[in-house]
Amino acid sequence: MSDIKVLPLIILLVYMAICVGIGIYAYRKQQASSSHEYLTGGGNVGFWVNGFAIFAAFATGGTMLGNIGLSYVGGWGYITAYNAGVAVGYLITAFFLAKVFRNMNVSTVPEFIKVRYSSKTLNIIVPLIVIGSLTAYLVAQMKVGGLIGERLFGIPYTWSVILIGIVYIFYTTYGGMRAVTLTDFIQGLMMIAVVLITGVMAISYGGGMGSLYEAAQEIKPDWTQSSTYPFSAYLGGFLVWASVIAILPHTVMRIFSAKDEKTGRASLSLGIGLYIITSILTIIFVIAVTIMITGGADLKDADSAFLIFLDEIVPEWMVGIAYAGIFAAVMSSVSAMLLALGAAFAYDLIGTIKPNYSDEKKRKLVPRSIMAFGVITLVLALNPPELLTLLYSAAMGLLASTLFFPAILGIWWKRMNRQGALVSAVGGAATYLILLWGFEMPPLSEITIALPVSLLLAIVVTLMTPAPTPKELRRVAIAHEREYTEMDEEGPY
Amino acid sequence: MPEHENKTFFKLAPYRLFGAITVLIIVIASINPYTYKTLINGTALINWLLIAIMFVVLIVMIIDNLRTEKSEKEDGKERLPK
Repeated sequence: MSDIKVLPLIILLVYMAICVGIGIYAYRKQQASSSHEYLTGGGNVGFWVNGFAIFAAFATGGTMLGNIGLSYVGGWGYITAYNAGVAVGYLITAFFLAKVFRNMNVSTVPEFIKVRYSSKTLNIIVPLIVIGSLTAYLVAQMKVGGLIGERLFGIPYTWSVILIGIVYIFYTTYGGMRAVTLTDFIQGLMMIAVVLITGVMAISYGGGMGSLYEAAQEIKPDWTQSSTYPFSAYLGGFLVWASVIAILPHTVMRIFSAKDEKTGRASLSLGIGLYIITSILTIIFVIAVTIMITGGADLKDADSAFLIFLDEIVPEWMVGIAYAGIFAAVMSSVSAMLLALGAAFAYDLIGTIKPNYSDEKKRKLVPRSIMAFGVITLVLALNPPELLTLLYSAAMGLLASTLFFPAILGIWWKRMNRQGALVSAVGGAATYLILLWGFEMPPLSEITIALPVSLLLAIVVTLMTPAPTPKELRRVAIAHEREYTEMDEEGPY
Repeated sequence: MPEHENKTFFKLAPYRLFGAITVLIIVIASINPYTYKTLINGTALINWLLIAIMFVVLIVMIIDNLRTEKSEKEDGKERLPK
């Protein structure tokens, strides 16, 4: 604990205290709310708050450190393939999912699968895959948080993980989506402030965009080329993010937290706008300056690229805020994921196993399951399993390969039925895992095969089996035109 | 809903269909082995095109938001009593 950095630590503690305060405020606001309200924050969040929260929930600690490091090592084009995929993913969410999900009055993607297909097997498989994927992703983020705490603030890894864990489990459990949204909003503001200030500093340091870019290119020519990773890795990185965003629970839940569908879509645009700014300023201009500082030398730890920039270019007081911003990036993502995880367990899985479970009981179970998963992931993050890295990288590809086509086709293709959805989900997941564990393939490229397999199985099996009845299509059909209400449960469409 | 209609697709707003197809065409034109291998002033062509995809998506989404707002305002005007 001897090299604890005092100023950054004070800024961090103030920030943590604000998060705890928001948790208490949100708890008082919603003591008598339903489980739907708890998971959506009451569904009255405005454009700016929701937009910044979307940005903060998606832009993880990995975005702030990992992506920047990947740009240094693999060239800025490869990580831009991820980010272009993210942008397309937001477009798919806004154009193809937002309105129907919102009108159907479902809170989660598994809940949509449940009401659209009424398949008990799917209703168990889908939440289990969501829980498995999010747990792996969350533990990995916690691990990043622990490492960042150790490196940035001088706090030992174990204490760093415990500090993050206690604070974010507290405000997520007690405050639900309302607390997560408000803290994400503050975290988003901090992150974009850090990005803008460091970006402007980088550009002025290099004497303008053009000269900075050319100087870095001259020092490290492969940084601007595509020689480090094969083409299939570019395609895979793009496809994973383009398809997973639409079904990523902690992003989709923001559609429900917005005050209306239009605000939900507009805030998705704001979220992606902020993400594009972050992407360009950090992975091009900040890294260009880092290359100038290091002379293009190989780094022992690629993730330290941004820290090298901060140490050399940014004033000390600003470094403290930047460190807190990076920490905020971790916490905003883990809290949103934890909420989605608790919802997947209590709302979707238990709701399927015990169909007569009342909303009152679900409302009580959701925070308890959030607390339980928070503690489980905290313990796992203290001593992360070796397989975690493999599971983490597989998590997003697995989610996309399993759920993308059953969700999208379920919304838009009237003929899509439960048999097609089941085989598509299982086939997509199995293909992805077989390719991941059984074959040596470029990073993330498994999805270039798994996704088409999932689509093909969905179409073939659906056409070979009976079409859904008008009664089965009723809720989704109504949702294409207007909001589905309890009064619509009976009577012809 | 008549039984024969059960096999088609739900209707998508024309602008969104047009926007999605436009983005899809740009994606296919941008992410392919040719752009991956081609260098322009030392930078891979695919890099610039990936940046272009992000901006095109943002513009398409913003226009969609503005269009929805405009059409809702027009709907509101039509409903006003004369």
